[in-house]
Amino acid sequence: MIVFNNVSMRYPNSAHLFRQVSFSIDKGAFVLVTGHSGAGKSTLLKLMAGIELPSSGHILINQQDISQLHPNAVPYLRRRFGLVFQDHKLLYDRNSFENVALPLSIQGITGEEAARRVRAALDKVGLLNKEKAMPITLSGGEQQRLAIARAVVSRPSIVIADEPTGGLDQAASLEIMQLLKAFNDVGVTVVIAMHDVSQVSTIAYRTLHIDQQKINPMPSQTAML
Amino acid sequence: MKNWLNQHAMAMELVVQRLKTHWLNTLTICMVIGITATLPGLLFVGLDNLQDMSRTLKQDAQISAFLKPALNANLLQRLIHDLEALPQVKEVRYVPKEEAIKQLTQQFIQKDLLADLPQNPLPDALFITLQDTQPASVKPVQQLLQKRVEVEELVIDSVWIERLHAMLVLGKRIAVIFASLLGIAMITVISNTVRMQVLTHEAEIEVSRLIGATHSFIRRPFLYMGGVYGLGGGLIAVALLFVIVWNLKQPVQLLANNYQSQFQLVFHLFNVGGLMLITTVTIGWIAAFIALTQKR
Repeated sequence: MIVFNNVSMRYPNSAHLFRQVSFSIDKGAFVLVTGHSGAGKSTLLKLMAGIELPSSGHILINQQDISQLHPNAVPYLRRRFGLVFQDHKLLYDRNSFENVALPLSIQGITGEEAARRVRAALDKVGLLNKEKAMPITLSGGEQQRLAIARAVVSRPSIVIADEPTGGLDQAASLEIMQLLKAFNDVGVTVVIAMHDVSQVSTIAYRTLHIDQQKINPMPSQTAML
Repeated sequence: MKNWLNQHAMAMELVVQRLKTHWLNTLTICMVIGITATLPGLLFVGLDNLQDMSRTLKQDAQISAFLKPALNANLLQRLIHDLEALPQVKEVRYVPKEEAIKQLTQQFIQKDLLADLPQNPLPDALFITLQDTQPASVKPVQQLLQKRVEVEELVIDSVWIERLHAMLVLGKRIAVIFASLLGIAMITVISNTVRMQVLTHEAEIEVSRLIGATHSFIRRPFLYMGGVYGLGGGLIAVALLFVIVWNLKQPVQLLANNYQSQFQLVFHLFNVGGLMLITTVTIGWIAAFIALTQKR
């Protein structure tokens, strides 16, 4: 469960992005964070993942206050999340297999166990036949699927995706969203920041809309597209 | 524990892989470090050999006391007894003037010249061998002999050895200064190289950090890389020193033979070589650490 309690956020020498926002995301939820460009969607996700610290307030992940976390403990917190970025953040000098294996090697998991988990993740995203391919040779949609495989390979309980369909055509976007929903269906909490909800197909979701430094939680709904 | 070992093994594997990929660059850096380390290494090898030489010379350190003519036998015995009682004295040898002229005659080429002398010009003498040549050991013996009226003249053979010791101390200090300056140069070279590597792998560092890599995980391959550069450079330096000493060995021995010395140039592989490797690896590691600290 993710809980934001009176969280304010402002970067140095700039205006507040949020002022005392409070909301909670239940375990196993599928949540869209929406808002106009520059509203603070990415910052909200960064706060959840411990990449940024709030100016004030408390953020609890599974009842652990991450705003009070010692800097040395932050990397271990991040391992509990699967992160997907708009620009994929793949390593272009390593093949698909090695890209997906990176989170496991960070956790010291190598050898057969790592290979088995990497292949399972590649299989889930439909890239098992491209494990030796370099990311540059993959299409935009495939690169994002590879990034998703990297995000889920360490079996995180929460997947955070920042504009995962950005720059992709509608078919590829739909594929990505269905993939994320498939992980949500097996109990993974999925939080996605996106500005264009029209890409969400028949998926039941909950929205956190950011507007004028406030976050407005909306009730669960199903996309009609 | 297994994970921790796995991470170290992975870091080392990654370093070897990166160094192999840029093998020419790696070789160049190791050569630069190796040649830079060879210069102070040569100084240390030279000093090491001089020190060995001075240790063997210690045994020959003597004080010669030339006695007054027609000295009373009792006074002579008392003097010998007093000298032998000193802890700094290893041996006291009395050489009467008759024996001295005999030895001189044997060594002298123009024996007729000595035969023509109306009387033996040499005095009776005491040759005192010391335990060592440290000034603290020489002084009490010297003071005792200077006070005694039986002694006409003193010649302290150890003075030049003391000078050699002083020169060795000075040489060591110069070598340390020289090595420190070159060490700083090595740190700069390695640090710069590691820094370039950090910049090259910036994307990887950023991604790793985002997905939960600790500082140690990110820094470890670069620290190992610095150490490996140091090790490579150190091995080249040891090899160069070995070849240089091997080349100089014969000419030095020829020179030493001309001075009736058995001195031989040696390279203590395990002492000097080991010290060289430890130093270069440490320098490499420190340089990488500095590069990573600058980056942050």
